Amino acid sequence: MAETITQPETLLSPEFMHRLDRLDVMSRKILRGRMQGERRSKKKGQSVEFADYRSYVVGDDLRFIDWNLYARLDKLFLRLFMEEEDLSVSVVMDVTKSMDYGDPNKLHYAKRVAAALGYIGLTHYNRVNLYTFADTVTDMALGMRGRRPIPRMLSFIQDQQPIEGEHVSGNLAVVCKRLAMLQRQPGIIVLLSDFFDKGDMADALRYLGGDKHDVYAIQLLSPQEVDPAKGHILGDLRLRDIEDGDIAEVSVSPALIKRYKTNLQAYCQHVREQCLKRGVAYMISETDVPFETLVLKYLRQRGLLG
Amino acid sequence: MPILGLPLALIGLAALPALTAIYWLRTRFRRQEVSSLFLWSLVAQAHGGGRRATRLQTPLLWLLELLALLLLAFAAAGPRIPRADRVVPVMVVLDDSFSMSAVQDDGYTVREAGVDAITQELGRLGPFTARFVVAGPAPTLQEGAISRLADIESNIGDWRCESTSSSIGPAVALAREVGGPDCRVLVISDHPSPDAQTPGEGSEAEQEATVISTNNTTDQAGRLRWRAVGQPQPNAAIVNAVRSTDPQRDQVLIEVANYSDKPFSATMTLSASAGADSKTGLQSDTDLGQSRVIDQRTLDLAAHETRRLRLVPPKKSETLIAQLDDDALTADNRAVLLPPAREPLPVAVSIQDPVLFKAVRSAVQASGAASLETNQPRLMFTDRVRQGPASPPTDSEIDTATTSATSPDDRAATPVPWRVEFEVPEAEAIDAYLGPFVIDYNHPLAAGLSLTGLVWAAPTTESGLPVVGRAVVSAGDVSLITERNLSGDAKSLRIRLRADRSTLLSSAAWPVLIANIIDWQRVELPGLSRVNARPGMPVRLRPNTPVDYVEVMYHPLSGALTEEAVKRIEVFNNVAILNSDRPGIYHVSAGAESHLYTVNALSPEESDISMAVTAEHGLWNDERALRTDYRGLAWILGLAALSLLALHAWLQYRPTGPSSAVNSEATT
Repeated sequence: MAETITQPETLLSPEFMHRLDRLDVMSRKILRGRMQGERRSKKKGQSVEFADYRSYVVGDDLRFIDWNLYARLDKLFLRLFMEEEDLSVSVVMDVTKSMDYGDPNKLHYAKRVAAALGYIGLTHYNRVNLYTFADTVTDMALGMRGRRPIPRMLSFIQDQQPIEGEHVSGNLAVVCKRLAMLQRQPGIIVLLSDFFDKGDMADALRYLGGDKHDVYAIQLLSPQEVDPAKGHILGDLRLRDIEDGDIAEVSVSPALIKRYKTNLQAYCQHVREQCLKRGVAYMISETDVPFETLVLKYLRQRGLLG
Repeated sequence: MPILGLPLALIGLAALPALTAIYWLRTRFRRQEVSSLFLWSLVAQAHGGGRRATRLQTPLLWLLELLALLLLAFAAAGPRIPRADRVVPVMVVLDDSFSMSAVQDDGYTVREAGVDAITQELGRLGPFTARFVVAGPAPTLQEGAISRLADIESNIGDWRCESTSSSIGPAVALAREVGGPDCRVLVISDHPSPDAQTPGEGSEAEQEATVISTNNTTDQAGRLRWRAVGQPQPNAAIVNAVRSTDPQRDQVLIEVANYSDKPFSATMTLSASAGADSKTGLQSDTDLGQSRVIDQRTLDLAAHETRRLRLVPPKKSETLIAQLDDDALTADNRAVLLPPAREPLPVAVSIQDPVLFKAVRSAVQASGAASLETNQPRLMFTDRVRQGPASPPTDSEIDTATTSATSPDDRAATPVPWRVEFEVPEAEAIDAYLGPFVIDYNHPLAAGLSLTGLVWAAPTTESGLPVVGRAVVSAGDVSLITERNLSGDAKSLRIRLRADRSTLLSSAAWPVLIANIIDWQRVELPGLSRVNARPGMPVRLRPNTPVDYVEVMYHPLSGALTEEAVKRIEVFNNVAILNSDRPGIYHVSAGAESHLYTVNALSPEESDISMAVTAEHGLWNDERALRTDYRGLAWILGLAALSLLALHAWLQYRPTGPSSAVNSEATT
């Protein structure tokens, strides 16, 4: 079941790229960018869009004085315009062994989502950063902007493999802390993970919470995780955690599956609550949902894309 | 004690592990990888990594099936319990051969091991009644029956294990006759059952197998149980001890055998004792004890070697005792040889034909039991055939055979000599007979006589003299040897033979025939026929004075005087026949006379205990016994199995309620 699909051409098809060209990454917050871009900034700048007036003080640029208003009121007022800046889009992808599971494979699914978001970000001159993590941040591709780094981005995503190791298991708290240190520029952070983390979820999200980042948490689950019966997980089984090798011998019965589903729902609800508490947009998707549908429909509905 | 009528059906128990394997294979934990265990750990207790032993799951249905199979297998095996009112009749056949007295490694004798075996076998039966048959040379039924294990030893006092052979086959036949069709027969021996031996493994066993199988009937099959309690051990033994019967040429031949796969060194001591005398008998315990060593030598015997020793006793009147070192079997380590008690038979030969004359003389001398005497012969070989009524030989005939003169008084006191008359026909009036020869083997002359392949030239029916008397050997209707009575106790034997046209004189049958003739006459002499007898060989005693009976007292070979019961033997026709199968020294009293003879334990078959085994063969419970003595339990077990299966079916198809508790197992 755990099979990594690593063919580059399977991430984004040319037809799908054309459809992505019409989309842009949207932020729920107005975030400060580093360079001028196509996005309205909190800063008052030099765009054509009027923002406000304020009283002239010595030293202001005389070019922005509203002379018509001075003629009517005999007072100097300065015209302020909206500043347009670029947007930092960070896609953080979980590459733990638990992601290398399911059919369709969760990691492959996450790669395609990351590629789509990165592609959209780059085509709209946003600053795109890619991170992968397992027990900590394991790889990153930073500062990509414009269409030129699209192949580099795709190659980076394509090269990601599940992190092997006996004691390598997801540690979201460490990852979020590390991300907070690495990603000082405000922006959009999209977390792609199954969030099967044995640590404290609230403790992890607090590093990314606040107004600095607009965080999206997309929880990916395989159909076999949602319904173990689809993975023929039935009968007397010696279950092995592919991340840490833990073993449990379970006699899986329909009743037990029912209880498992209840537990899964409760856990997902817990993740959702923790996300909402920290202002993180949460959404969940099964990997048997067509990738195009997720990107073109659900992410637009959630406001990440527009 | 419960038994199984068809133990082979217990093979069905193999279904138990098979069922368990099926359950195990079906319910064992398949290996399955999941992305994360923590969701499962909420519903099942997970444990740390690493492989652990998997405990077999034991669902109730499996237990029920297991139990049902167990019951069905036992039901098929036909379990039976003894009926409360049954008493099992048992006949115990005891091998009385002296090999049963061998001492085993644990210090116990084979006989003691046999008693233990009897106790075990009878103890398993429940209520029983047992009788014993001692299988010596002839089977002997012991008096009384026992029904308690404690009485065994008291009822087998006659089981001394001193016989030189054991007639187990006839003993089993006797046991079956006495015990009836419902009895069980237990054989205690030190060698395996003939049924368990391959053909050719032993002549003794083959004979027993023949006898036992002959006596087996359909309804008796399965009623014989054989317990061999022997132990193979090396043993050195005196297997032959012979002393010449001619006092003039006193010689001793002793054969010592090593029945072992390894070389063996034994010291043989030859002692002489003057205490035991065939005329006077044993006088005290020390008669044989006060012997003096006349020869002592160490015999280095190779594996399975038999060595012959020829010795000349220093004194003809002394008893010789050959003794080997003690080993596992002591019964065959001692042989006692008494001095000859009887003088050689005086024989006269009066034959004209020089070839025949020489042949007769040579054969007489070779017999070792006769001497060529011209004075008062007791047996006369002559070629003068008398016609007409039987009468004693004339004086002229005796004179012809003797060279020394005898007085008329002596002749009157001399008993009438027996005559052996050779009828020698003319060469033109003979027929050569090649056989088949008809021999009357009931006649003493026929002992060991074989004429197969010989040419016997005898007068034709027309040319020969009229034949009178009983034919001993004949060829068709032509009598070759006939016997008739003379006056008194004397007998006459006529042998119709043309020596130069026959091959009889150059064959082994000739000395045998002459020796038989001499023995035939010797038994008529007063005294014992032999003093050094072999086991089972009858000894004849002709008292000097007529008596109605003789008394026989047994002493062991050691010479010790024991309190054995004196046996009284009837005397018929002034002859008492003494059958002695038990090795020892026999003291015979006939009126005022006293005689002594010995029987030595000379039996190579019994001395060879290297083939002894510990084994069990045969079952007591046949169909008939199961039917009559036991009550079947199969139906109860079958019913129980049926009930279990019904419960199983109910459990499997019963209506189920809300989802039951999760059956999760975690190894511990």
